[in-house]
Amino acid sequence: MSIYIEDTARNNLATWTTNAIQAGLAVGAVITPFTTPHDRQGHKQAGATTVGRMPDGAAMWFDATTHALQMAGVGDYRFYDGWNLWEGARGALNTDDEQRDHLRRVFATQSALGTPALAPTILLHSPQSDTSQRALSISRFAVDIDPACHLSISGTSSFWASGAELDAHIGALAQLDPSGWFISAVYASTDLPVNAQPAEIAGIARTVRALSAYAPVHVSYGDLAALPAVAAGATSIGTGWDLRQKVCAFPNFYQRDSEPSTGGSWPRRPTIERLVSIFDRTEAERLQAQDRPLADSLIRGPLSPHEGGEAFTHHLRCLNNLVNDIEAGATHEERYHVLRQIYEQAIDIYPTVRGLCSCRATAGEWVTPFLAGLNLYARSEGWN
Amino acid sequence: MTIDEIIDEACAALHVTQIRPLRDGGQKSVRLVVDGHGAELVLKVVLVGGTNADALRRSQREVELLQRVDNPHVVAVRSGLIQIGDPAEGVAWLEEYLDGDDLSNVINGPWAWESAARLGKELGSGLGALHELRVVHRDLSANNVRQLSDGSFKVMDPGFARHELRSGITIGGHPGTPGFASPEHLHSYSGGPTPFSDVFCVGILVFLTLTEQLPIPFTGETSDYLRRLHDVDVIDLAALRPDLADDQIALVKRCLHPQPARRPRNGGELASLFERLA
Repeated sequence: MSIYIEDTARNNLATWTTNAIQAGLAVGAVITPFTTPHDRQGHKQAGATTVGRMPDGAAMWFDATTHALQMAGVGDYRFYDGWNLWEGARGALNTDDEQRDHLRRVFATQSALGTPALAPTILLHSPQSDTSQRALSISRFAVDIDPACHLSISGTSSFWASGAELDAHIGALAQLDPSGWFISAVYASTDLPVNAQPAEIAGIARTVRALSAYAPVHVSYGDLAALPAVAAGATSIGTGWDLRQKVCAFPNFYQRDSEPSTGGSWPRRPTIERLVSIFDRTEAERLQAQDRPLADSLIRGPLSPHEGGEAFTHHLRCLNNLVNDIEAGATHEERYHVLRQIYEQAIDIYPTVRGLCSCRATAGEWVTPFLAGLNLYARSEGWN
Repeated sequence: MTIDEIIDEACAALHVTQIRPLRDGGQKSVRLVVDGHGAELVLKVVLVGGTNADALRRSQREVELLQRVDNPHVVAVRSGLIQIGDPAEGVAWLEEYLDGDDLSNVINGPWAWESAARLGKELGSGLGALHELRVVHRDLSANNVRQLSDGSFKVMDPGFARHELRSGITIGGHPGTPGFASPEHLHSYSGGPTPFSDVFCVGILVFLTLTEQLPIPFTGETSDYLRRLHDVDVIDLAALRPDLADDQIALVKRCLHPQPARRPRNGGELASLFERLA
């Protein structure tokens, strides 16, 4: 299992990613045309420069993120239009020729950057619709153009929660036999934890379980929410220090004029590993002051530093620890039991923690829906 | 034109002579014919009044594709698809003549695993040849699998053409036979039948030969059957055949997995798996 750093419009992608890779906490990064410019713009390095600055052996991807163009309110084209991804109107994929042309441009861009071929897709709300038919068509053209490409699947909660209809759509895609998959769950808001429903979590896990039998599956922007997918066989997940690297949501792509040049506030929030949660810093400090042994056992190490890349490293380390725990299970069923136990222990200890530090985070937000989704997945496997 | 006039015209165009009717019904007629070298063939005629030109062209392309299939477990197509009348009133093509009997007539008691596995392996092989050409059978049932006099099995009526020509029984807009359909038959968009669905249908046939029962029986109200098909509510094979080994049961269950992508990927992979357990 590997961790990739998702792209950020802030100016610290290359440095922090390099540090994470050199520390053995990540294997590479994913850049996108929404957050990395083709040519240098102000403090933002050109895409080719960012890719070139990565350490030897870093795995770099260019995700065209075409599925963002169908999100409500999309408008952040500061960098996007500098990439040559469309012959005609941005997002026009109605005809076979338009689909093939966009695919060729994306693949040419990736080839020029020296990154693997990753086909774009469109955002789906339903797996049985004209739009899903078009997504299948785009994927089919993609493997016709480059049989070694990876394919993308992107959907909102209703897509991932649609049970047998989802499974049928995934089956049609699986027939295309690509080299790998990038899947993403897309939300209407950037809330963290993501507002995921159990049926959706189970749908993602079922999909990962099926697709990973033949090819690697990356869960973009997965972060802590992707742990059930890890139990189901995901080979990599995406994360980052900023909120917009931990969740793929419509607001990530809203029009904005500028970005703060700092790393943002999220790296300062400690990850409470055994609660599978992220706290405010003051809450974590209060917990530590009230019961140091308990805090140390939950955080599994010292509280993160206040600032910068080292604070982010703390989150990456927690994520790696959780993934390693899950992957200690020799079979899919054992992995399920490991993660279920992590969730159940978190639910058990949460009341004590809340009593000690009055944190706003609750098990009901951070743990319970994911345990319910994991159990739904397990039920479909006949494990509970 | 009458059906007899269409058949006469088809015989003339394909240079064959009628011997006797084999099957008539609905919009389709099947005749035993003989060619100029004395070889027995099957003439298939479908009435297509009202079929649009695009559907006809797609059917022609697919029959041409099927002519390229060279596999002992798929009926051989011996001619291209010809159009009778202008505008088309019928279409016709030639296939090899098969002796033996339909699978539905040769299940007289539960089969031993070895026989059922042979069925799975040979159907897998035949379907695999179709899948390599990106052709999905879509309507595998006990009535379009033939056991020949030498004991081997052949897939009949492959491909999309029958659907295009509206001569197949349809479920959810796809050709398919109640009791023998896959859950993907219920979907009209991107989730429609794929090679995974043909694999599911082989699972149904293997289950049927092992138990004399369909795993998702077509009984009661149609809506109830469709619900059970949607939910892949499959009868427990282990309960009906406790004598089977775990890996044998596991393979049939895998063919009938609710998630298409969890089944063997295509006919070729299916044939290998059945061969391993034969």
